[in-house]
Amino acid sequence: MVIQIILVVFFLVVLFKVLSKFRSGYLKGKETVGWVIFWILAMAVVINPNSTLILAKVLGVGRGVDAILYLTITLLFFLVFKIFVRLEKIERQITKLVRQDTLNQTKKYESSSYHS
Amino acid sequence: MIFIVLPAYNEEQKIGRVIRDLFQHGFKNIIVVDDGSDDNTVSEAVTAGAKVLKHMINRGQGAALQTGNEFVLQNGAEIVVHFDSDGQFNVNDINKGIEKLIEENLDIVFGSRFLDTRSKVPFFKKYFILPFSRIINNFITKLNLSDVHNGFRIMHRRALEKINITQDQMAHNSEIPRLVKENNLKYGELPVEVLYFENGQGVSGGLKILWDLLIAKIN
Ligand SMILES: Nc1nc2c(ncn2[C@@H]2O[C@H](COP(=O)(O)OP(=O)(O)O)[C@@H](O)[C@H]2O)c(=O)[nH]1
Ligand SMILES: [Mg+2]
Repeated sequence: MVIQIILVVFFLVVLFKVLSKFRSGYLKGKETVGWVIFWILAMAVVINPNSTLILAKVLGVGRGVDAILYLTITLLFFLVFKIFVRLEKIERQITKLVRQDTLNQTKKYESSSYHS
Repeated sequence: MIFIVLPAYNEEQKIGRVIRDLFQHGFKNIIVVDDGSDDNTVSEAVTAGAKVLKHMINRGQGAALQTGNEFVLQNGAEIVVHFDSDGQFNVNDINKGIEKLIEENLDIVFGSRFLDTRSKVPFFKKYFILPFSRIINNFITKLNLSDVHNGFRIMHRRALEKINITQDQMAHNSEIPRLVKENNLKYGELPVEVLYFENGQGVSGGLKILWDLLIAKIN
């Protein structure tokens, strides 16, 4: 099927991207291993859709596609949540930097003699 | 020493008048925290005679207030007034608040629009947004205040040392009462006048605040 070829090629490209991100230091070792396993599994599922039946049995859902759907949605939510938490942390760090910069620029306060 | 801290973001039209008004009422230590304004807020404030601290980029009103707080603490503040730089507050209310703080030996005085009849709060804000926000706020903060999210407050150094604002945006208005409760600070409310020429934050602003508080809980 055409869709299988398209998806497999796409996953291979993503896999390649993951590895190059790792090489240039943007991804940690642990994260890289996780993503590589994830995309290889995704490829396996696309090449042999029946393999998901095992998963469906384990999870107690009817069809393999359903099992994949549930799992991927859960995973997506988890990732979005992680990104949220990370963003919030970055926001606070930026504020800390900006504040430090501001306070470094003007440490001392001299009561102004200016009166209008 | 009494400090007035004015958070400002793009207030070139109004900030000069507010600062001059403060000087005319005898306040001397006026600190503007410019939050990366795109307009001439900084030069207007400098011309009017205020000390201006500059955030390189916009970090929000809460972030600016915390920067102001830390600066004045370093410089020997005994009493700090938070005051809006858009001219919505009445400078005459400040001295009443300071007297109240001292006489009743309070740590913090919150401004309230609902303790007298001077503030003409827009209908929708008064009867829909604010009552709803007040219930949520008093629930979150466990502090019973007659007003919510009023940027007018006066703090003693004691309070300032305890209140560390981590909510960069507007949700610091809920964070401060919460910290007051947690630290057992003595608080009071002061009737203040708020003028309305525009609607301010509105419903979407309120939802944004709730969102920020929720995210903070998760972290
Ligand atoms: N530093 C800083 N001040 C802000 C920001 N947004 C608003 N302000 C200031 O906070 C005060 C109140 O803001 P405003 O938008 O009028 O809110 P409202 O009157 O409470 O609805 C004014 O003095 C504004 O200049 C911001 O992002 N950073
Ligand atoms: Mg305003």
